[in-house]
Amino acid sequence: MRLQMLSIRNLQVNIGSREILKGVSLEVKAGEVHAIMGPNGSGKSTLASVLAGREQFEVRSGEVDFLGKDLLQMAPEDRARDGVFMAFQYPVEIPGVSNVNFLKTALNEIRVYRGLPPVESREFLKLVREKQKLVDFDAKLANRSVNEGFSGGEKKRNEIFQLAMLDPRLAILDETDSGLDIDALKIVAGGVNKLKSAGNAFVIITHYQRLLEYIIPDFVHVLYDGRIVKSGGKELALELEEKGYDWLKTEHGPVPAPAPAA
Amino acid sequence: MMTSDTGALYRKLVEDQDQLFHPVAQDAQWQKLRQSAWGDFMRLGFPTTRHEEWKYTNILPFLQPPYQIAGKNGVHLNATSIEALDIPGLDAWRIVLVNGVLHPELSILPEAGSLRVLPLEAACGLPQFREHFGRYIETGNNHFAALNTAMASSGLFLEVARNTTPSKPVHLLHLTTGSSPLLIQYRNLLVLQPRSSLNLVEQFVPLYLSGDVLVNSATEMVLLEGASADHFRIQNGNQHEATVNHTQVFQDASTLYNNHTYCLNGKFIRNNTHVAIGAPGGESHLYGLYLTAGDQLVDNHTFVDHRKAGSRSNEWYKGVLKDRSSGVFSGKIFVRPGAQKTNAFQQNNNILIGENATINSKPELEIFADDVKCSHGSTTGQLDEEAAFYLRTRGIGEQTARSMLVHAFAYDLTEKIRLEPVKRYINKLIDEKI
Ligand SMILES: Nc1ncnc2c1ncn2[C@@H]1O[C@H](COP(=O)(O)OP(=O)(O)O)[C@@H](O)[C@H]1O
Ligand SMILES: [Mg+2]
Repeated sequence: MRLQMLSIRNLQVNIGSREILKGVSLEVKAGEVHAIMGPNGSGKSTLASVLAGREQFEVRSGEVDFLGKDLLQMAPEDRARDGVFMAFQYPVEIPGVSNVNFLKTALNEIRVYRGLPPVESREFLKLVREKQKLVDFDAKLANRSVNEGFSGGEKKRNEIFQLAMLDPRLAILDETDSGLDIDALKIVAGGVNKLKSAGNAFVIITHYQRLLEYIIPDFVHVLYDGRIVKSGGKELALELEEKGYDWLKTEHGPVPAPAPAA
Repeated sequence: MMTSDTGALYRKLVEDQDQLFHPVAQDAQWQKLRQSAWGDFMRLGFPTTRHEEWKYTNILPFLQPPYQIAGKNGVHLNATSIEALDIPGLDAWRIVLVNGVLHPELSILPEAGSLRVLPLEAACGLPQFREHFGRYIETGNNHFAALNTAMASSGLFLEVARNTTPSKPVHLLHLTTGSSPLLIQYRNLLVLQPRSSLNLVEQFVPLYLSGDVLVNSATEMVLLEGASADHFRIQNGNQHEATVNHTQVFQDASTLYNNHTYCLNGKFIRNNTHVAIGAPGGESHLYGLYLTAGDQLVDNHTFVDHRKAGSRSNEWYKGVLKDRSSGVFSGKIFVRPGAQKTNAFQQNNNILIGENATINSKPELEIFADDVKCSHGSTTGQLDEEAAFYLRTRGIGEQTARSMLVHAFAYDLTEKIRLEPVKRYINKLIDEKI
C-alpha cells in the first residue's frame, strides 16, 4: 500500500473577509502525480501558498495532515525542512542575496534538521553541477543574486533546479508552465519526470493541458470558485482541453468578481 | 536673551572654566584658538530642537548625568584585553586612545618613516600643526565643535609623509572606560602630505564602561594634493555611551577620500561629517550604514562642500531601524559659485522593522553654479516580506532569512570595502547586531 503523504480535509480560507477556498479536500499518496486545473482566480495559488505557509491567509476551518503532522501549525521553514516544496508562480528576485549562498544555506538548514552533516563547499558545487545538468538549467549562478536578471523562463527553470537540489517529498508546482515556450516546457517536464519517484509526490497546478502531455498525471482535479468540482484520471485533462472552462460557469455559476479595493 | 536651555552641564562648564583653561603646552596660538572657541560656545550653548540642525535630535537627556570632566591621567588596562579588539586577519599598526589619551604601551606604533604618530599636545610645536590645526573646523555655528576646540587638549596627531603609503593600515582604537559619569573630549589632527595614502580603521569601543559617558570628539583630516584615504569608522558603543563626533575633512587638488561609517551600538550617536573639496579634481565617497535597535538614536549629518570646479562626490547612507529606535539622516550638498562641472550624488535608503521605529531623512541640495550634475533621493520601506517568505519556503529559518535580507540591503555598502579582513569583520558585526 502506498504511503499517505498529504491529506487536506475541508479547507476553508479567507483573505480578509473574502472567502477564497470554500472547502477543499484532497488526498495525495507517495508516488502519485496530481494535477489541479481551473480558470484564473479559482484559488489554485491560494491553495499552494497555504500549503507552503504564507501568512496573510486566514484558515477558517479544515485540516491538513502531512506525513502525520499538522501542517498548518508549522512555520514555512519547518514545512520545507520536512519536505514540502512550492515552485512559485512568480519567483521573487532578491538583489544582494547570492544564489550560491542562498542555496547552500537552504540545503544545509534542511540537512541539519534531518540530522545530516552540512555539505562542504566542494561537495556542494558538485551537487549544483549535477542537478543543473539533470534539469537542463544552464544559467550561470555564481556571482548573481537570486533570480536577478533571469528571464521569466529562467526563473521558472530555477524553481525546478531548486526542487532538484532540495529533494522534497511533496512538490507543488504553481503554473510552472505558464510563460514557457515549448522547448522550455519540455525541459521542465523532463526534469520533473527524472525527479519523480515512488517516495515522493507532485501536485501540478496548471491552467493548460499542455504540460500534462509530458508529465502524465495519475489524477486530475478541477478547482473552481474555491472548490474541487470534479476529479478524474488523466483523460479529464483532455476533456477540459476540448470543452474549455465555460461549462463550469453554466454548471456552477460565475466566479465572483474580486472584491473592490477598500 | 539666553540662546537656549543649556542646563546644568553648561553651568558647570562655565563655573569651572578657570580650572578647565590651564594652557596647553604654553602654546599661544592654540590658546588663542581655544579662547575664541570658548566665546563661541558661551554664546551658542548646547543645541536644542529649536535649532534647525538639531530639529529631530533632542540631546537634553544626554546632558543630564552629573558628568565629571575626564582628566588626562592614564587608565590601567591590560594588553590582553586590547588584543581581543584586534580585527582578525588585519595586520595593522595599532594606536590606542583611552578616553582620548594616547597609550603607547597598549599600541603597536610604526617605526619612523612613512607615519608619524604623536599625542596631540606633543605635536603643537610642529610647523604642520601650526599650519593645519583648527583651520578647518568652524566653531561659530557648531556647538559641540566649539566646546571641543575650547577644551580638548588630548588626542592624536598623525601624519603620512609625502609620496608614501604606510606599510600597513592604521587601526585606531578609541576606547571609553569608566564607572562614573564622564565627559570625554579629544581632538585629532591627521595630515596626509602630498601624494601619500592611508588606510585608516577607526573603531569606537567601550571597555569596562559602566558609567554614563558623553564623548565629544573632533577630527580634522587634511588631504594635500594627490593624497588618498580609505577611512573606516566603526561605532560600536554600549547603552552608557552618548557620542557626538565632528569630522571635518579638507581635500586639496586631485585627492580621493573614501569614508565608510558603520553605526552599530551606542545609546546615542551624532556624527557631523563635513567634507570640503577645496580644489579641482577632488573626489569623495561617503558610505554609511546605521543599524539601530532598542531605544537607540543615531543621527548622521553630512555636509559636502564643493568649493572649486571639477570635483565629484558620491554619498550613500542606508539604515535599518527596529524596536523603538530612531534615526536621522541629513545630507547637504553645497555647490559654491564657480564650482562648475561638479558631480554630486546622494542617496539615503531606510528600512523600518516593526511599528515603532522612526527615521527622519532630509536630503538637501544648495547649488550656486549652473553647469553641474547633482541628484539626491531618499526612500523608506519595510523588509521585503515576499522575499523573506521565499527564503523560508526553502528551509531557511526566519532569523537567518531576515539577516540575509539585511546583509543584502547593506551589500551595496559593504561591497565597497577593499580591505577583506575589515569587510569580514563588519559583516560579522552586522550579523551580531541583527
Ligand atoms: N493577497 C490577496 N489579496 C486579496 N485577494 C487575493 C489575494 N491573493 C489572491 N486573491 C484573490 O483570491 C482569488 C484566488 O486567487 P488565486 O489563488 O491567485 O487564483 P488562481 O491561482 O487560481 O488564479 C482571486 O480572486 C484573487 O483576486
Ligand atoms: Mg495562480
